[in-house]
Amino acid sequence: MLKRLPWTSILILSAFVLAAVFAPFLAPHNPMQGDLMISQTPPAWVQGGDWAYPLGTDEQGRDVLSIILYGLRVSLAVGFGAVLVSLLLGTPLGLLAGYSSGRLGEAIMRLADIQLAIPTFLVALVVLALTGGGNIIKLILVIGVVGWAGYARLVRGAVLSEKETEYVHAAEALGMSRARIMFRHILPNILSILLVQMSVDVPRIILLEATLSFLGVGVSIETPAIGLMIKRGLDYIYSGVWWTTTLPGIVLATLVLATNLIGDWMRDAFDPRRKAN
Amino acid sequence: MLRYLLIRTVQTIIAVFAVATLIFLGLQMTGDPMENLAPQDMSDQQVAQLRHAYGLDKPVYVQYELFMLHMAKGDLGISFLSGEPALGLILERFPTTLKLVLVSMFIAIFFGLPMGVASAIRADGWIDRSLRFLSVLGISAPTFWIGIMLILIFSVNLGWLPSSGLSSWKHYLMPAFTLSLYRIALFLRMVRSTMLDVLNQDFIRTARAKGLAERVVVYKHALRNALIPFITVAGLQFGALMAGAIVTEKIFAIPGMNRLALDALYADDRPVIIAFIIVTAVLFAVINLVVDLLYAFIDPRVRYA
Repeated sequence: MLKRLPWTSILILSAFVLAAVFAPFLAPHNPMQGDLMISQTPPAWVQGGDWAYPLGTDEQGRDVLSIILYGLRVSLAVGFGAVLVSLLLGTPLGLLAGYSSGRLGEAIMRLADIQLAIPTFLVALVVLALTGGGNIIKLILVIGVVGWAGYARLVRGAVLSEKETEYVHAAEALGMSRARIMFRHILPNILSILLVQMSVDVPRIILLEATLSFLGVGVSIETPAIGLMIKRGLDYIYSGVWWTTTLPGIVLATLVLATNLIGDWMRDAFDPRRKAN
Repeated sequence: MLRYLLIRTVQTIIAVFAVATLIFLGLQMTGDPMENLAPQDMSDQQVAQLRHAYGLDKPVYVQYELFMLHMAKGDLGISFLSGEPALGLILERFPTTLKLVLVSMFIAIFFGLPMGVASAIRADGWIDRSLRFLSVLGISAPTFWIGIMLILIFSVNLGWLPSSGLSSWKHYLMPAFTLSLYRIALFLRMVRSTMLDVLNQDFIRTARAKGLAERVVVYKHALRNALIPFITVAGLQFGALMAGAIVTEKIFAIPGMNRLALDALYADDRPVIIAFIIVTAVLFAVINLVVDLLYAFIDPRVRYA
């Protein structure tokens, strides 16, 4: 039985995507240009707030709402971009390792095992820190490349079970080339598994990017990003400035929650391993 | 059994050396450490002297050979910053992190496991629905943000709990909860789904059919079987926490080994970074071995000959 579509989550995610795309039109202020005269203005609904800065301003007088809107671009770009890079790298390698079992396939999987033995977070942190911090493109590439192994292993497993099915045997009997069988016949049949894995990974990577930026090795300090704003906000929580940490965190958690709920739904709906229940 | 242990130990040592080789190669590719270490106003000659003192002027393969030989003797070099042995520095901070992680794991299992079972035995009831929503919330909130929110509420506003250090049990509450929240949610989801799988199997129907009390069926028959995948995940999470408490140790100013590694990363203090990664790799290997041995205790079908 197919569960009802998670409409609330889809609406929230779409709203965030639209807000990120149209950030230049929606943001009331330049996210990186502050005015020290109005620094640390509290949110509008609190005493001392100003509706010109609905969510308040940070220590340099920059508009929190505008930073969040632009920050969503970083979160979403890295979240979806890195997962796409992992997918594009891992899928062909997994197909190869699964369909043409031999030395090459073995070597690919041993490499994947080593990669999977070290936590993604640690590898990304060390690489980014030692190469002098990052930018959006670098984050997408580093996190994406580190993630290839998960997809390779998943695809290989799926291919191994597809390989013995009748349609593959039929295609082989017809004398089709290996590449054609791999990409035209097996790949479409394992797409749903890949889709499920991606939907699980996107929220995970969004959190990873925020954490790396929070530690100061993610996007550069001139970039408006949610993790960075919380990092800066941490220095001011004792002076009563709660909005520069609390508010961006709520937005981030809501975004990740919505993507997680969509991921859960997709897993229930598409993952053949779960249909048994 | 003894033979199995011996083989696994040898495998572990090989794996650690493989990881060390990868780190060595990886660090070679990230550039010259002297660029960050040498003060700007140092003369070329002084830089050359410093380079010589650390052995950085030798050819790469000689450096590799020396690195491996020293590692075999338990020497991972000297911290560029403090001049003390890197491995010693990490091991000195190890117990602090271990204590925090053990408390966090205890909290995570204490709440996550029973909540997962409760969710599974009344699947789709209101308890299950609310627990499931809370667990998605738990894996969605960024760890660093949870830590900051706790400080804001309990230290800044209420003034109940200290926000830095680990000198009393009160100091443990916030960092341990910050670390365990994600794991409570993860364990809940995981135990729920494996319990549901097990409860659908034939031997459970048989157990019910022969009139066993539901309590016995759930806790003695089903839970025991669901524990096997749980132990793997719990073991992995334990390792992930030991090397992943970086954010928490930073926020709560805890002098653990993750904090040390983070500072080493900021300062490009490579021997300490290497020592941290190698200690982590050994730890992961040991955890994997312990998990495999635990299987044999829980599941009598598993035998290591």
